[in-house]
Amino acid sequence: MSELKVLTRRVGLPDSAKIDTYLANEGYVALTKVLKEMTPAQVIDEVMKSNLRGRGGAGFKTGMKWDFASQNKTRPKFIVCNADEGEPGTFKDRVILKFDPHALLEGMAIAARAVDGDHGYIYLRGEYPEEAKILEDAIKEAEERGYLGKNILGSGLDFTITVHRGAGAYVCGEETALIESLEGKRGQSRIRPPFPVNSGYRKLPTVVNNVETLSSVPIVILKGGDWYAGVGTAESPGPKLFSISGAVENPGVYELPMGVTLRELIKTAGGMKDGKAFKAAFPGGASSACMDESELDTGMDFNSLAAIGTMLGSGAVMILDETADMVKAAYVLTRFFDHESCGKCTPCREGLTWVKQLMAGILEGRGTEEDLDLLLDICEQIQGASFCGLGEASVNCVTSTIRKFRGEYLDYINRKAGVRAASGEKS
Amino acid sequence: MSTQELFSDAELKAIQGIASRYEEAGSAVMPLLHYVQEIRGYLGEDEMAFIADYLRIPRVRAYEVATYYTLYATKPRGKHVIQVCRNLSCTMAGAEGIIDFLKKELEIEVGGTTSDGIFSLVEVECIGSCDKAPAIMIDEDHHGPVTPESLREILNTYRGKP
Repeated sequence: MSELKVLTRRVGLPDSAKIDTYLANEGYVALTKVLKEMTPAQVIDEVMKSNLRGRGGAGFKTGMKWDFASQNKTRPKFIVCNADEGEPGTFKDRVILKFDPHALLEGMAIAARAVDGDHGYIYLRGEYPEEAKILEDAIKEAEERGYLGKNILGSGLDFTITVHRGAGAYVCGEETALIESLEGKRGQSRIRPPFPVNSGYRKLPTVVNNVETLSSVPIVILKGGDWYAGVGTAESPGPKLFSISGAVENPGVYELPMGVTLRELIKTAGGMKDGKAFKAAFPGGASSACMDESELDTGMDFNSLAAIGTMLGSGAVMILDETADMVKAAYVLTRFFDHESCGKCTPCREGLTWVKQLMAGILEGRGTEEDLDLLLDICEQIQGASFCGLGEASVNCVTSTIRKFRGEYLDYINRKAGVRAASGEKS
Repeated sequence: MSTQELFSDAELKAIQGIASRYEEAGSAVMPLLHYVQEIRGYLGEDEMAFIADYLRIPRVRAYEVATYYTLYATKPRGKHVIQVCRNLSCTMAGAEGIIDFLKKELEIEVGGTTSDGIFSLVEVECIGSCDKAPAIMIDEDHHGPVTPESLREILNTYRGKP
């Protein structure tokens, strides 16, 4: 399957982040159309028709979210872009932020028109200081040319955007934790409902959308919802940015239609590195259940991956080859989740520490087969009892590797670990 | 403590500018902490208290934010902070070897600062450079994929930097 050039069509142009390049390449045409020819209801209808689903991981229908927000008449209302991509393995939004920031700004302005948004915030991950400057420059350019600010293009719409830098907390990628952080608090998730569309930033209606989602909006308006819905699969349409890392020849960000198979995706990234054999993949970042060789022909879209018990998430695909140590991999991911648990919900806060300790014990040759049952039991309790999706998903790496690669755990438990390490077969 | 002792007029002006971006004072906490860390290298107790007082929020609000988020430092660090990613893609690409090399090369442990005060070494989770694994950040710059050889050169370029 060949790569698409939709979201990435301006990437690679000289000075692609500058407004002049953007304007010369369909930039702000969609916003102009929205402001001059469409009603807010028509904009929402078009997005609804496109069946665009949230690219941050949850896959919620963007049109529906906007519709809910538009029905709430409380003002002011906020458009918040979630640019905190902190899911290990994810670096796709960075391409847009760095090379096509105006697409995001345009998408946010269109969202503002659709739902009566008064102000926008881009919550940017702390590790992207360069992108913060690029975005601030882009906002300034857009204000100077009248695409942001007061009375945009004479339409009466007042809307501008503030860049807000995070400071290294994974959980802030979860929308309610992100809002807490935007309010200047520790990033801990809130219980939902109420949903942010009704009670978000400062308890006011707030639309939180991912970078890629918002940047997809201009193309939905330009080419129409029907066109967009026709790309990829019916249930999860559209072009999608995949970040591929790990054991492939050319790790990077690739734009492909939703539903491309994992096998094709690996091929697009140059195939397996050094000709090694594929062993496993985490298709949706650290929080997704792993896939094995038998699942290589699964379509990479929300529904197909859910059907095999894993998830697309943000499209962060980590590939592991035949030499990878799955127990070690699961430990590394567990260590991450234990570190990043915000501490609000006991099962996630305490449970992950237990999981990490048990995993470390297995790696150090102190594990027993009963530990595997205990691990699955703790994981089940964490999964059913956390406020946010991040807590729920934090143990997928453990449960899926135990189910699919139990033999590797047993190797460690049966003290074959030393042999594995001695033969240099360590990841 | 009077404000003049903590911040210069120019710095106070910058603080005012950042705070004025937000309608709700509390929202300015993180950007202000970022700013103070940028100019001072870390967040001292007096500085955190000043920010809280300035925004008229309880001081604990500034402390809790500063200690919750990993990018804030509440203790002095070296002139340049090396962050080594230890998440999955980087670990598979040899991040552990990179940590070991840096520990030996700089003669410090993770979390430590070199005796000349130039480098601090920390381990972090995913910095969004998974396609360049093993990846590190030094101050605000991303580097990767790094090897012990390339790191030696990279470190040298920072040794001369202010």
